[in-house]
Amino acid sequence: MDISTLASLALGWARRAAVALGGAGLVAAGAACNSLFDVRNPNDVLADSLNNPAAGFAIASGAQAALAYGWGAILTEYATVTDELTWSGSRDGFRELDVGTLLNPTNEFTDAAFPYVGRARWLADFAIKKLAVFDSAGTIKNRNDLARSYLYGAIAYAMLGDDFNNFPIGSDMLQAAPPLGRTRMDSVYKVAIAYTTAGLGIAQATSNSSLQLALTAMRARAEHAKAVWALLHPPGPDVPHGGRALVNDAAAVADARAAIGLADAVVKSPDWRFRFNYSPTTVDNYIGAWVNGRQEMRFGDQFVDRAAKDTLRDPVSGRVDPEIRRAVVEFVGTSATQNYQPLTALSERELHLILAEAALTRGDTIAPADSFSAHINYRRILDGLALYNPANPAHPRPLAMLIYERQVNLFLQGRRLEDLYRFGLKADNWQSGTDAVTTPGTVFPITQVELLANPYCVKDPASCS
Amino acid sequence: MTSPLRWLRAALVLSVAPLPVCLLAPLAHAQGTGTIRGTVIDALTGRPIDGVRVDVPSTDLGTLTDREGRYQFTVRAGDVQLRARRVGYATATRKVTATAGQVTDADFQLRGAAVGLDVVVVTGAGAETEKRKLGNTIGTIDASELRNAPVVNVSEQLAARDPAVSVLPSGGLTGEGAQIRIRSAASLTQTNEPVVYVDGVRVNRGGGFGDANWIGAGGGGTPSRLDDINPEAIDHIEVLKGAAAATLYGTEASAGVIQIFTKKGVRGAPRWDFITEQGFSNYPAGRYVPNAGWVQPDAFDTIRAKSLAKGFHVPSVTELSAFYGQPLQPYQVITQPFASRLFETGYTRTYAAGVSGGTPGVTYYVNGRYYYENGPFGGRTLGGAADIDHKAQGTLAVELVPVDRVKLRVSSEYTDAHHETPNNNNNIYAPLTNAIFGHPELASCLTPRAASSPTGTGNCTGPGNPFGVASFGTVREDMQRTNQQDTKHFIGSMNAAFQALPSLALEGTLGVDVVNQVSATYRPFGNDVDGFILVNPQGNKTIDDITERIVTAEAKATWKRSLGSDWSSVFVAGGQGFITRKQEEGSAGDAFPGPGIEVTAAAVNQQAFERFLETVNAGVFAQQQLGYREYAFLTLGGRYDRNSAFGKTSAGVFYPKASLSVMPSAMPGWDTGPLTSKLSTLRLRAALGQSGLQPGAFDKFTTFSALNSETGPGLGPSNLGNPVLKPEVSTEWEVGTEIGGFHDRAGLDITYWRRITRNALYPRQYAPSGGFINLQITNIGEIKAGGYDIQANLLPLSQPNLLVKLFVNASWTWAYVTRLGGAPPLKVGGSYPRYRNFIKEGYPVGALFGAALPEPCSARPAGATYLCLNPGEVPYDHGAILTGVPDGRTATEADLLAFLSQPPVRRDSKGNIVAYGFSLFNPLRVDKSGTGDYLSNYLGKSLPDWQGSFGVRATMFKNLELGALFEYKFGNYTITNLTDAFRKSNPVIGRNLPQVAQAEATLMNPASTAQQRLDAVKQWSYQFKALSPYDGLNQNENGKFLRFRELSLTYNVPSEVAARILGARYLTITAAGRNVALWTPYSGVDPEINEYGRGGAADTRAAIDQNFGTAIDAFGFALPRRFTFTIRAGF
Repeated sequence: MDISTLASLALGWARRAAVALGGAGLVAAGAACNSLFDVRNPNDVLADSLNNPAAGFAIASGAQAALAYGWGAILTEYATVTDELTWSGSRDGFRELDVGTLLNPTNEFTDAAFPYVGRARWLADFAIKKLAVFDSAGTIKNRNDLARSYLYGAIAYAMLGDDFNNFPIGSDMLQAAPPLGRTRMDSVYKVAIAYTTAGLGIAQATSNSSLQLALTAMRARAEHAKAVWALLHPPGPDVPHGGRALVNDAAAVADARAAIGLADAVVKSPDWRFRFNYSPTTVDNYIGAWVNGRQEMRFGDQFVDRAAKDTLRDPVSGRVDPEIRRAVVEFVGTSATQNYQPLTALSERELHLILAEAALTRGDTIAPADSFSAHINYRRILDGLALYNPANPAHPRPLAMLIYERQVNLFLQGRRLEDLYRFGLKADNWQSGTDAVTTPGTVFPITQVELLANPYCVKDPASCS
Repeated sequence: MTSPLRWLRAALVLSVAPLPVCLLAPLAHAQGTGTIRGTVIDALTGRPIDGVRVDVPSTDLGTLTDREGRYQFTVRAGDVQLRARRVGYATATRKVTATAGQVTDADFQLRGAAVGLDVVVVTGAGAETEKRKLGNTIGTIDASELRNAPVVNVSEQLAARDPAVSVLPSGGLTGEGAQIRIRSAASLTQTNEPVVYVDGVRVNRGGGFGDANWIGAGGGGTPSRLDDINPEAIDHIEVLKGAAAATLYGTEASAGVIQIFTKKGVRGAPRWDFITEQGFSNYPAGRYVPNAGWVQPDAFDTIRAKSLAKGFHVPSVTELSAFYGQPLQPYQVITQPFASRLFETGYTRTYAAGVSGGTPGVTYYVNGRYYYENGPFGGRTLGGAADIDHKAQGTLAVELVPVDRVKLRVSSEYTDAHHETPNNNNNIYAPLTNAIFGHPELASCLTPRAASSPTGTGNCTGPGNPFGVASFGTVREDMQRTNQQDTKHFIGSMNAAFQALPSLALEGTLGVDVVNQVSATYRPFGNDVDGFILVNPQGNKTIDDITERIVTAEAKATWKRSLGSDWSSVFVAGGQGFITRKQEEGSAGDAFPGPGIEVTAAAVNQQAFERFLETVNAGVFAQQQLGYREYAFLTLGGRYDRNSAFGKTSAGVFYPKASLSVMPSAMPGWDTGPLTSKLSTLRLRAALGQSGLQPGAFDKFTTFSALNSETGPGLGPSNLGNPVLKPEVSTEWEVGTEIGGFHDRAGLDITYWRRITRNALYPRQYAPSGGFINLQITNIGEIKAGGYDIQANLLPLSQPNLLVKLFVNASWTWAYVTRLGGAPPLKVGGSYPRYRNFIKEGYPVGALFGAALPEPCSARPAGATYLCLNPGEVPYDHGAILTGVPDGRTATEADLLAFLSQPPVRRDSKGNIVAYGFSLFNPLRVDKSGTGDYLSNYLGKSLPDWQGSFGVRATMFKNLELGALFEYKFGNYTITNLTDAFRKSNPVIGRNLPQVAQAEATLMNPASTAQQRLDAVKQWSYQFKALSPYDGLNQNENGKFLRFRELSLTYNVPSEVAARILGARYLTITAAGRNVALWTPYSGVDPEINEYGRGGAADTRAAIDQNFGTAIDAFGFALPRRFTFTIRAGF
């Protein structure tokens, strides 16, 4: 090829390149028309939109829904570990829980529930933070939204303490936080108590008696749970530890009394319950599908004796306990409601049980006012059961009665495991050598999904154990 | 929702609009032209060859031969150079002189060739280009070559034709779509399905039943939108195999491109083609191992009943004997076949008719096809679930040349499809699944809420549980559940080509693809016909309605010119854009008020959802090809792309490409050299290029979605967001060669390729304690892949009465995840622990992990400290076995022998049996990685090293054609046999394989010896024990297989006979079989089935499952054998 040919070629190339670039430029200019790429997204809300105070209600309601779902999600595994539910299906992850193995971080069900618990905690904190800003700026649409956000936050934090040995508190979107540490988990109850106090201040200011009641009851509940946690986690090398029975927490007692007063005098609800209500248009309760539909679990023999085809019997009257029957019937529902039955988080019955327990620790079993038996009998009157009299030798001893009443009245409320531990009991399916037997007091670990994603856990796995 | 009818109307208008021009067009062609006509035959057999492109090089003049090998077209009067070429034959040329107003005959005889470098391709090449000029490989599938093959859809047309294209059939349910992979996985999170074009228009490549969280049958039985395309209307298919070839398709193309070209009309009088095909199909029922169970003494009833659903009746030995009508004894193993009760002989039929013809100015092609299959899933007497697939398809193509230098083409295709499938696969409400769970020893006519009497033959007079299903629901109840899908799919395109100058061609394409897909799953009121199932006994219905529209617009200019006598240049530049708009709506209702109601609005619990998605992808491209004589070609090009996923402020992405093709055998003197003359063809090539994949439409943004509470509407965290998100980019290079020997009677095509995907989009799980639990797409991954694509063709026998063509395809592929940016590994199937396919840094894609038992210490690597077994030790904890409390000591055989002196049972303090049998034996696991995670042991990979096909096509005695195709996979190929993991291990719904039942019966039989029990326990640990917390243990198997995929025998009735009998131009009769035989060591039902099927990969998580959840056998349907009898006739 001679020089002229090469030159011709080069010129040709240059010419074509110019044409190409020019053409490409023209087309690119057309393609660069931004409107072409400005597509719509009507499915979700951009994060910035939540800075608008008008979003306050939706933020608080979202926190409520996230908490309701997280509550059911972890309750499924929690109740399976206890004797409240017994595994009867195909998923061996539930079997593992049923026999008392809680500490497997790869258990598919605790691992699946963990994120929903994390979301519930985060969204409650997010709601409190956002609405507090609106409140400070005077732009909040309804201060009760902030008050109820505090309530959701308190329930979420107490749930962490009740259900987990350790948990990363303070993680925020991309930023993971280090886990709190097994010996510091009582601090979640402190947060819960602080939240209820802050919420109460607002509810009192807005004269919202329902919220005042729920927040006061929640504070009593958190204070009691904190004391139970301390029982099961005494300082020392044997943490956690079971078999230490009763608590008498003055703050819990005071708040329980106050809440009962609010329930009876202000709200006028003698059998008050704070419940999560579920529906097809909100969220389902998570647990119903596994138990009522798929039948992976059934009620434990301690509650619904399959052989006798009957429910737990009251030790005083010998009758089928109406509260268990009610709770079971309600939980099973119908085929149309089996995924949406309500779950109870707080109740006046529990408040009385807190007071009964406190009375029992004082040895006060027969005094007429504010006595153990008075509080025990509060619900028995409601349910039409024969009154309990500790002086009657035919009646169970007070501790056994307390255990029974808690078993019945706190059924499927996430209290049973701690009760089994502190009263030195074992679920009938627990196998020797499992976590629940060898380390009473233990609850769920941080699970795999967090262990792998949280850089603090990756760096120092022991800190997340 | 946009009505698809609106689009259909628009398309019809567009289709009809050119007709006036068509009518006038012939007038433009009457002057100064002559007609060339002729016949093209096989030089050896003398048989006519259809589909031969006869044309005038460097012009648009030309046509295709018909079934009789005849062609005819008009040229300007004068000397004309004619060329005849077709896949599988050597190109032939000849000169003729056309006389104005007269007909000139020009016949061709073509010789078979094993190398086909003269094939003209379009896809990814910018302009029509012979393969030999491209540095990258392009696969070409000629549909006429598959005329006799037993294929009924596009997926089957693609399967086993090209070494780089892997078609995974998913499962054996009727109408089930296949997953298609080209050169393994280019992406971790985006769908690895190649993009698909029909005549230049991007078409829907989805599948499934819609939102997987909303509706689904269980993974299998899911159709593919690709199979909506009428296979009878396909002329040929081109396959771009990766980034190096697909650069001009830009973002979205790195998983490859498939372009389907539909048939065009052939000038001449109308020619009609008719097809009728009848066939039958059946499942290989023998591959389903019968259910087994050991008859338990009545003493075990209580504990057995306790582990089962509420009210479950465990029959006594006496009841069981009455049920089966034969005396049974405790510890006796009984077996029951279950597959035969659910399978039947399927039936398929196809009718198709087409007509083609035209004038010099206008040609047309019209085809209609009706396909119906009622598959081999049966059980009709049990309920309404069915496997049915039928499609009515219509194709219309009109091509016209209204004036010189202008060519217009309008094509449209419409499919109306109906599909039904039963619940299936890993779905506890699926009939086959629950039948597989059956326990013969639990069969009873007494259920928790209903009863009837046993017939004494293993059946009930009414309600009952004759399969002995231990949980969930009976098989009959599962048969009440139906899944249906109705689809309307329209593809329309308009293409205009204008030869502005002799060297400059302009072309534009505008098209639309519209799919309306309505899926419904339905359970009637009162579907608890046996009084067992508790889920939705009052019925429910779920509907998913998707309308998706893709608009394609493309314009390009091609400038061809010669640069002196030696150099040539082809420059292509243009733009291409797609607007995809998807609307999805769904509604669901639970609990109907009464029978007969089938609408969601009538149910008590009603839910609805709606989703809207629009994405825009547009780019410009340019390419320069420089040729030196006929043996060296250099191509440089690139595409600049933008995508709405990154927002309107984002910068675009530029994807470059370069390729070189050198063909020494085209050099002067090659065929006279002493060495080179041995090689009739030699080409060397290399290509390098990039293409990309963009993330989901809104993955960049932090969003909150509806999370409503009892108090009112609420918002919750949805997408975490990533403001620096960008497309992942695959860079691929390949080198290869085509070698022809023995005058091109032997051909070898080898390509070595390597690909690296950088900034791979990876769904990072940020700490869920931070509130956002959804995975966030992030550009942190890297995948490296490579391999060989090998194709060999041989024409060993070429005699007039026996023409034999052999072919072998092989693909060796590897793909590794090389970087995840510190993100945790990701498991297929979310938190479901039993799928152990992972994306994990440093491992093959789809690597398998799981539990492992301790090995003999002699086999443990030096330095390793994990648990091992010394001689005489067994993988059990000493204390756990003997006292129930672990003591950290490994048990010995002597320990076990002592323990097993009696049948193993555990009693409570009251002496009641609380557990027995294998349930007492939990073997020790090892943690080889030392991470504390007992499930982190590497157990293999789910993609084979080698896969391919081989076969033969032979023509005997001129009129008899034989075709056979075998497909294979092997080499480090592991299948997760989850079905048998359940059947071996699960105490409730499993332990029903005969060998497991026998082993446990031996363990529990008082008459057994301790040694026999020890042997049974060893079997338990090393062969049977599986599932949580042993996930991965004893569930993986070698999945290698060889399948006799296609067999066909065709008799071409001599044309004179066909004409005499029917007045037909041609008549062929074909008998064919598909999936004729299978050879595999795999013990499950089929090594090719896959739990996830052909889902739609609607979101990131689903895409991961689709991409890497391969080789999971979870209660699936084996591929059926299908035999067909086909008659084709032309008039």
